[in-house]
Amino acid sequence: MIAQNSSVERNRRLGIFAKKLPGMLLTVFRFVVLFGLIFMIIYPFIFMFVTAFRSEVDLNDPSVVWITRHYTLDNFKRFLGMVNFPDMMIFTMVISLSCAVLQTFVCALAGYAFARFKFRGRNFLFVLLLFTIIVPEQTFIMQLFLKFRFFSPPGISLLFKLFTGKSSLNLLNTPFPFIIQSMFGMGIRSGLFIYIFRQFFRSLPSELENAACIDGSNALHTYFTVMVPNAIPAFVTVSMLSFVWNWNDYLSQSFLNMSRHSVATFLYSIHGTISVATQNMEDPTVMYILIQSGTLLCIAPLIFVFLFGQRYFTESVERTGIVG
Amino acid sequence: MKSNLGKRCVRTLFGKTVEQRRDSMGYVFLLPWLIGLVSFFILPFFEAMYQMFYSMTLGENGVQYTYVGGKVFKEVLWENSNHIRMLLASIGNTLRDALLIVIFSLIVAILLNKPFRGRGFCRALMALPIIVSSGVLMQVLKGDLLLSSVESGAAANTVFQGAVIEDALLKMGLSVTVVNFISNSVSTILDLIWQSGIQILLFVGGMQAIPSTYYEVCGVEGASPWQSFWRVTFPMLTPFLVLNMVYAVIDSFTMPENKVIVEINEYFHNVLYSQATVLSMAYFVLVSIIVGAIALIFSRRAFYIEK
Repeated sequence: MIAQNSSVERNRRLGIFAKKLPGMLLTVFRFVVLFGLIFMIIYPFIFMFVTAFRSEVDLNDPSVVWITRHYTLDNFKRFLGMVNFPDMMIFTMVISLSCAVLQTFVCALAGYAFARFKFRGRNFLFVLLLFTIIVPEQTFIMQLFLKFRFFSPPGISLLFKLFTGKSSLNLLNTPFPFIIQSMFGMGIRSGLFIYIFRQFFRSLPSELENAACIDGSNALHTYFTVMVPNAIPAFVTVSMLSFVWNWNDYLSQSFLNMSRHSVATFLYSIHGTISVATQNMEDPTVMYILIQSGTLLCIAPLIFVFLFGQRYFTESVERTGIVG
Repeated sequence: MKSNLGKRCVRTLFGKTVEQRRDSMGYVFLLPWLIGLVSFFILPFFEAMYQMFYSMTLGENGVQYTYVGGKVFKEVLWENSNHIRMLLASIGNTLRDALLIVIFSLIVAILLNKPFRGRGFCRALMALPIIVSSGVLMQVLKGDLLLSSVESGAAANTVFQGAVIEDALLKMGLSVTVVNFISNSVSTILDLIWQSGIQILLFVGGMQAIPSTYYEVCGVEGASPWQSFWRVTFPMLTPFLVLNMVYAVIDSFTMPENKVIVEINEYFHNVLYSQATVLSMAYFVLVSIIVGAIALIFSRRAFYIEK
């Protein structure tokens, strides 16, 4: 009797255990995978932070792996002495900020048009929009290069002739090519931004506009006073992405700014630049430290954007949905 | 019916309804983009096609073109036998990477979907690769890993050096091509993690959008989690699958460390503009065929709620 009872009890416990087992396994699996993943993502940054402030004394000390004994800013000072950093930073900042503002503004307008107006040729234009996402810049970057090397838009080129005596301007190595392209909705990944805005505006209720229309507001007025305040999350997401992608954009900057470094083109050649600046005489580990501190300075604005905006950003990408 | 009646009632001066007049305002909203589309996309694109048959020389006041016919094509695509091989290899790599990215990000998204402690933190960190990563930065970051393994002995990236695994697999009797494929995938996994940030977010977003009533039905019908994944979650995610696949292909296509892109840049720096254009056009045509094929094959199978 007693023996039977205990076996029943054991079976019951086994049953509970069998039910709980998959959940526990999942938890363990999730922990292992996510921990590994996060380690891979965050490791380089921790490493960068740690090394950038390390003084040369600690370099050959085997007991120093993660926690530095002698903190110093010398690496940054040396780096700033080697490179014309302020010029590069201001140049990139001007490009990224102005492009972010202009791109957000123009892409929002276009996205609203695609979302809420049924004008003739809309579907055709939308297919063209998708093409701008798919066709890579390499195919016509030469033409863009030539366009901005000999910049003479119809109608305005006469003015150039009056003032400078030449019929075209050389806009290379200035922020203007990027600003002009963003102004007309053709900056980096503009197609994607227009798509995001279209999806977002479609998700807003159309009663908003109908009410404004009945109150006698025209389309432009409605857009700026009713729709824009309701679409703040999309605006924040797009402007952040635009800033970041312009900052990191290597391809078009390497073509349009051949003789002037922006942050992205500089990072690409950071190793060479620093070894030239130290005349290759430096210990490789010291060079690596210099590279670390330089990179940290170059991506500091991105890290700020991430820290301030990540919550807003993840949520709105998930909620507004880049896709529909 | 109702809206038709409304339209007839509010017919105005120019024989247009209020709605039609409002709809034509769409062009005003689109105007800046239309200008940009024509002058920075359509025109350059056709100019590039035209210019492939010319050789260019850069002068003081502009560019001089001389007609050369198909000579440049022959030179780039026929006489240099490396290029065709390079194009095909790069496309193979791109496809493999895209596939791995999609599978990998799907798994991570599944893990991130259910609430658990620290989920917000994990999701926030998944956004870090989107914001900070670029091809350029990744090289510097990979340099870090290399150095640290030299420095501290205990290496983070020896885990991903496939030599040991490769040996074991070969001894198990697998063929060399399979083993090469596996070891290549393993060695690119670090890059893949960095490239799949946006895909993970998209998948998580897609999963959140699945109505919870579907899962209630699953519970009532007694479906196991495995079944409910394959019968509900996966079909509902197929649109995102297509999008992520296409996105991954395009992304790897435009990466600066892509071998073809490096070659194109080299041509450009050597002032061989036509050659660079021919190569990039060829590449573009190949990739767009692939993107189109992916979109066609998968979107046929993809499942959309509203038809």
